[in-house]
Amino acid sequence: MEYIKKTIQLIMTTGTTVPCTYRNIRTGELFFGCRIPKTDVVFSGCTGSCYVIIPNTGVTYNIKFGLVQNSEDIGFFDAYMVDTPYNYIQLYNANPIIAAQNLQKFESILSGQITLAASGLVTGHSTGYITGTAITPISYNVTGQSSSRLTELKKYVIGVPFSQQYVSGGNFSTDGVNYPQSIGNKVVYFLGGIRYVDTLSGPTSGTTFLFFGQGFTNSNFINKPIYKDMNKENIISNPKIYDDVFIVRQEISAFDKNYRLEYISSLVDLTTYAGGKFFNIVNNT
Amino acid sequence: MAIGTYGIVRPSDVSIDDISMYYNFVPNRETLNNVIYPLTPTEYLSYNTLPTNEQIAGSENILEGLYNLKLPATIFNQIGIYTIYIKPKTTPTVIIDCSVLSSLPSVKGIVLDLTALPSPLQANNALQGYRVEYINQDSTQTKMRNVVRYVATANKVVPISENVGNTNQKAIRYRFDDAGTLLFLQLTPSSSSDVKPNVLPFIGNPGQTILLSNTFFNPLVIEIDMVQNTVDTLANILVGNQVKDVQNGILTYYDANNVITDQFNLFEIKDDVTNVPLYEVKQKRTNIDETQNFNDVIAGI
Repeated sequence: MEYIKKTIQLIMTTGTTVPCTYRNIRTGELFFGCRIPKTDVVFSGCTGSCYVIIPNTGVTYNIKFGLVQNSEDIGFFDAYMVDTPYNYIQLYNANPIIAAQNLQKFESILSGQITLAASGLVTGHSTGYITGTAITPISYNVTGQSSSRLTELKKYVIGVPFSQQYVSGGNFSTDGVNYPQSIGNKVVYFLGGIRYVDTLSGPTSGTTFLFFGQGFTNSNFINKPIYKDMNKENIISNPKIYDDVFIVRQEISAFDKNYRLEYISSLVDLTTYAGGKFFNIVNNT
Repeated sequence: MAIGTYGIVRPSDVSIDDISMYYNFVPNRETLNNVIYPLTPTEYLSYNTLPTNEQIAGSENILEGLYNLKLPATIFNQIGIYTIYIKPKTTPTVIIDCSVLSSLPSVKGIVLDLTALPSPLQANNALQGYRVEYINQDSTQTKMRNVVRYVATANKVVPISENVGNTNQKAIRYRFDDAGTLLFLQLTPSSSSDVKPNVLPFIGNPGQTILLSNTFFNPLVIEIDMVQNTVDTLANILVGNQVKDVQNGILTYYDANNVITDQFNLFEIKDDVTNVPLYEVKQKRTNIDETQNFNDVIAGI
């Protein structure tokens, strides 16, 4: 804990006090003035004003101080994923007397005095899905600049007009060039739900993209309550994986002898390589 | 080079609503006074904001870590030592139950009544990071010294009855459900150590009173020494303006703004028989002669 010491001068001001008429007990002499009476002086009345220096209660002393927090990441949390249905015993009742009776019956069941069937308690069923964790989706656009991906839609054809050079029919759900929107020096195309616009010339030439963000409604996120697995305490990052270490197993297909690429000499060999599952050959002409 | 630094001391941006303030006063070091008085933080603390050229439009723009403390002279108006204690706010509550999650019986926790907590703490995981301290359940009700747990998660739950293991016994466990009015708090540490795998750390007992404190900032003590004079005021006495009223025998001292700071009577005490001066006296006046105002005196030259 931090301990700060400050010295502040008490601000004084001139205040007023009331002068008094007082009598000296020994001499019987009367006095009038602002002096503070001694023990042998008796008040007999107060009028007028005297000035004294007193603490100024109208001021405010200001100090600045720092506050810090020791922050430490205690590691990963896990999502609580329960979606299995289960049965339960209904104890709640709007009538508190019946609810109390149900509770007593339940305690008798737990202690083995009666069976569930004999207790008369009703069982209910739950789907098990966690409730109340819905997140309201917020619609928003994400835009920016990128490199062109138009070549990914190009067909292997030559000597044809522009409208036949690329895969057509593009929209947010289908990859392809949107020819009706590709006017002038712009080419509009869609890849994976992202809209790209290639501006081929001019001061704004380049590629821009746009997509509708899904945020926390994206399937990448788990919108569930979290719990802490104590085994993962203080683990604050994914384990490092050395993915440049390969173990080459001697796997040879019983039906296909082409297990080295150097043996492939034709497209047919490629499509049948490793049982026909290794290369995905697409005819996009 | 710092990559992935995660454990740091950061400037706190704690809300003033999450702060508790107290003060104590003693007139001098010889006096012991254990009486602590509360202060309302919203009246005495305020935030600082970023300089204009660093502000984000529409944002609160607070400058984290730096706070203002106001000491009004309505309270801080005596010569002496004021000790101001600024600490995270503490909320007492009672443990309703100690149990496990229905689908994860290895996850233990304490259960609190949501309605007994302030509304900002009732949301899921609002208590995450809070410190839990315990009151002994014996007749002494003393605070359990040196036992601290921290809240890892805090979620709304509902109780459900489940079969226990392979037996036909049933037990109440808890299941996350935002419709619930109970909070299931996982505390850390609550797992077994490697050397005693069958011994679990203490996390509390049902019916036990606990103290929930936020961990948004480190507590702070500020000692204010209210003094009558500083180097500046002493310098004023030595080299500042003074007026000696020769006729009335009054010596007046002024501060830098020519405000009267001290006034003295000057007189001699003589032998009443021989009329020989015995003493020259400089006596502090308790009542101030306002006619000795510096500007008025000078104006009369």
